Amino acid sequence: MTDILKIKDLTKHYVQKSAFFKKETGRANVLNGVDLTIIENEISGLIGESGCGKSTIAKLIMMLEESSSGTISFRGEDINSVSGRGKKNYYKNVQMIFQDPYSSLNPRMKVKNIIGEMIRINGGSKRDALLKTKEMLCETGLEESAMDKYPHEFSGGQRQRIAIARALVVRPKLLIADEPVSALDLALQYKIIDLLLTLKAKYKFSILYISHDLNSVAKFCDNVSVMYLGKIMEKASADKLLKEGKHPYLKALIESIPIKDPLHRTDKRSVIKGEIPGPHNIPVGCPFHPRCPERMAVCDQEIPVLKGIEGDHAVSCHLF
Amino acid sequence: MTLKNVFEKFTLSYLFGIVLALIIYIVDINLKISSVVLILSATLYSCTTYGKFHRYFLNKDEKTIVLFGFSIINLTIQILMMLIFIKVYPIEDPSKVILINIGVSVFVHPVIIFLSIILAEKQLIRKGFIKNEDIPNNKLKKDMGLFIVILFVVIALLAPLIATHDPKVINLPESLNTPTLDHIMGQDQNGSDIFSRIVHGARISLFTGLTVVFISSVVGIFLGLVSGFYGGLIDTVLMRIVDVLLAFPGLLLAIAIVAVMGPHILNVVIALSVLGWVSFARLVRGQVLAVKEREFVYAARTSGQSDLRVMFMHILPNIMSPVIVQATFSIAGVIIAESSLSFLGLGAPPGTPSWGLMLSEGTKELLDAPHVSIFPGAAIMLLVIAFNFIGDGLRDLLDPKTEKK
Amino acid sequence: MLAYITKRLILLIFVLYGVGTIVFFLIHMIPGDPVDIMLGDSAVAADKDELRKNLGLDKPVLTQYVSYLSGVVRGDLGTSIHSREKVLDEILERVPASFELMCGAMFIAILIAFPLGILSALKPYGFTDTVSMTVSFIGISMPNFWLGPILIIIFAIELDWLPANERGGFFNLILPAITLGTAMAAMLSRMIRSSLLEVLGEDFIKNARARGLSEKKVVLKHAMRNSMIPVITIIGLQVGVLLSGAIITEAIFDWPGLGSLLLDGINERNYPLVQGCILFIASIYVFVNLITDIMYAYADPRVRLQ
Ligand SMILES: Nc1ncnc2c1ncn2[C@@H]1O[C@H](COP(=O)(O)OP(=O)(O)OP(=O)(O)O)[C@@H](O)[C@H]1O
Ligand SMILES: [Mg+2]
Repeated sequence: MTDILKIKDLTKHYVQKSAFFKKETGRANVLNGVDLTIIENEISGLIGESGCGKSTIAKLIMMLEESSSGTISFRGEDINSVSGRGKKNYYKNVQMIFQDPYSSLNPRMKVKNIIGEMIRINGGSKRDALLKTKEMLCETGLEESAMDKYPHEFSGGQRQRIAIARALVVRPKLLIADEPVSALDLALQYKIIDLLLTLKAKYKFSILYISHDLNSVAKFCDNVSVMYLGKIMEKASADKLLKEGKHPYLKALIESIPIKDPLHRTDKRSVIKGEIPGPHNIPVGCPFHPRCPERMAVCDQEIPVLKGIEGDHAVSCHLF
Repeated sequence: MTLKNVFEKFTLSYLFGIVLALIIYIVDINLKISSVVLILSATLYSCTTYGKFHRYFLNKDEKTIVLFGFSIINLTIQILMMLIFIKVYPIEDPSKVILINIGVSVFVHPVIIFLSIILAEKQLIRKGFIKNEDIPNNKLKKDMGLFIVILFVVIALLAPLIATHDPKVINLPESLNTPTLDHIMGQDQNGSDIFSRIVHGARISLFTGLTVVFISSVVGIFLGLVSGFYGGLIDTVLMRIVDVLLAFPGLLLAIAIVAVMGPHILNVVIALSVLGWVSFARLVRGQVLAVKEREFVYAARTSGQSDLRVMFMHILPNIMSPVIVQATFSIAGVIIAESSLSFLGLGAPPGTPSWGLMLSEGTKELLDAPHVSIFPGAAIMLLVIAFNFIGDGLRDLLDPKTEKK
Repeated sequence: MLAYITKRLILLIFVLYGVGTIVFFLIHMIPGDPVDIMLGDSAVAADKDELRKNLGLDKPVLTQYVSYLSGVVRGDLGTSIHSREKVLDEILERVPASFELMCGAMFIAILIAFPLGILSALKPYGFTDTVSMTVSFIGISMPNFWLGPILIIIFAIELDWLPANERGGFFNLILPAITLGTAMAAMLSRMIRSSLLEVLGEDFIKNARARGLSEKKVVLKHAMRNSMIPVITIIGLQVGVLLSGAIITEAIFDWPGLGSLLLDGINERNYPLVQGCILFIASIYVFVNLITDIMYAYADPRVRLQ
């Protein structure tokens, strides 16, 4: 049980500046001190409502943007300190698949180049690239004839398979999956998740699985972190989370999961009250307190910290 | 009505026009009137033929070639008729009539072709044969422009073979002679053959147009990519430079640069390139900003390849369409700019067969010899229209909105 | 609004500074000794020295640069070489003629463009539309240094209706104004057509139609007003085209405006005058752009917020 990726107290804010005097005119606090650990060979889930900063974490892990403070370390090495060659090596170990299969593949490139490029960049020969691309396509359930086609000739599910093949062809040790199935219909969603599980069993890598669907995350992940307005609210192993979820926010979320039988769907569910505040006006104290049904006096004063309550179960709430 | 019928009908009306012209000519010996009749009948003929033919060839690719074939046949018949008139009944100054005839045909034809094609399509739409979206108007436009451009490129490449005389030979006794069989466009104020000068001038116009657009698009694409991709300080600095360069309206800065550097075609190329990259850089930068946030760019950036590779292999191919359209329009713009500078005496040095220079020298003799300025002017306009056609056609063809249809 | 104007003014100062810098360095782009070129080879050494001193060319470049820019700020554009007059005076003397020509061209452009554009938009893809858009396409492709001579041949020589040389009364203005205004008319009519068509597709126009207003009334009263914003911007931007097109038009018609002054300056190698003209024309263009932008921002609040 070694960590592959450790995020400590990560914050990210976007500052808007005026054009001339570079005066600050607005600030979006997207991440406000995130702690997250991904364990070797496990699937870690990350869930939260839209706009809470999940994709931002993924971007920071992929070094697509710079963090404002805090550290991300991959196998003990701070990724801020890698550059040049180290960066290339990092991307060999950490890969990402994106939410929208329609925009994540370069429309002007043939599939064989989209995937083969990854091998070529890492010093593989042309032959090598072709062989591995073929192999990977079979592995992800695509025909060999896909090689010479362009992305627009495929369906959404097939494209997501290509994206997976592209990410895994370099045999990464960590795969960031940012809502990889939310653009697909239900039957396809399970197929793609199955594919990921099969490939994971074969190639042995960790996954950070980002989603806003509590149900699927609980089924599919080993452990789950719940996020709200740029902070982790609770984390636990997946089975524990659904049954013994502690945080008021999580409880509300669990209750709001649609029940299969539509006749019993009414009344009982306490839907979270109020609008989710934007990153421009994060509430003082606990970010959830304006909407919290169990609010106390301290809640709008002090920011709660993530405390372990038993084993790997941790909650960030003044109640515990 | 079958294709054959249409063909016969309008060939007959054309022949009728020609016969009428001949009769008027023989009876009245009035070259002017008969040539007017000839032009009219040819015009009517082309108008209807092109329209009718376009209807039949609407969905076939060879239509452009057919139309051009017809317009060339048309023109040849007209010229031959005029030559017969003159051979049979020698007349003092027949060259002017030929000149008018050719001139009118060259300019009236493209316009007629277009009007008739568009009108034919309108009719087809109204009658429900085709839908509005199906009109391959833009493709036609593009092909037509391409045809003219290729024609000029061939002329430029083979200039020494095509030119009937040495463009630089000065023959003062024959200065300002009107067109004859030997000098088909006449002679200029130095007695040089205008046709040969125009043929050689195609080299200058195309050279300047292509070189300037090549330089400015390469520079502009590179700076635009870097500026849009990295943003920050590089972007700010670059955009301020662009602001300053855009403060000089149109040709002003080019005039200033050429004025201090001296009249030379290379200086014109430099001056126009100094301005030219700006529009490319702005266009590319805007496009990069739009494409940069697409996920495949993120994917490329996290694959371990260099930023330059991401810019040139992943971003650039996806923004190329508007750049190509812009380049086409730019060539037209540069050709006009070069001619303008030469017209002002700031471009090509005196004696060079540059169209702009020929035109400006011709305007001094407007009273006695309008042909000296008409031909180079026509050449400029034809080439510019051709490039604008290509640009217009490409723009609509590459437009994502029409692409989806 | 005030913030927007302030922002634009700061940008304006920066741009003017940049323009001044480029214009200053023009004289240093001359291959060889500028004084030799200005006075010719036969000039006496004493004259050359005097000119060199007058232009400050004997001092280090940085000193020259600073004194040139400070001169420009004070409105001192230097002295003309041969006439020894103040450059600014020579320029101001020519402004009325240029202004007259540009107003004429603008008037012609508007006179042609509005009817054409409106007629086209009333019946898009109809016969009138096709013809007028073809005509405007030719207008855009026709260089004005060719249009000018053709107009002279037809109207001044063959028909002898209008005078074609120099400035004078109203009739002298017609041909130059047409020459300069045609390209703008072509652009403008296309712009009016497309922006009218866009507005005609919007909901409030459909409402007006539903209320039973006649098509003419709908277009002229409701659509016109709402489609004017982009048209105004185009008119503003086209001033730049007019400014540089005027140089050629003035050359064709011997019109005593700024363009002719610039060309005279170039031909006489009177570089202070050339610098002054270019600086002056560019500044006017920058100011016109500023005013257009502010008007645009005033009319359309979205612009201010970027
Ligand atoms: N460049 C930026 N400048 C300012 N704010 C930004 C920027 N990028 C993202 N944000 C803000 O950060 C917040 C979080 O964005 P993020 O994409 O991480 O959300 P998410 O949790 O992935 O949501 P979703 O489920 O919709 O994908 C959003 O409110 C967004 O407005
Ligand atoms: Mg997201």
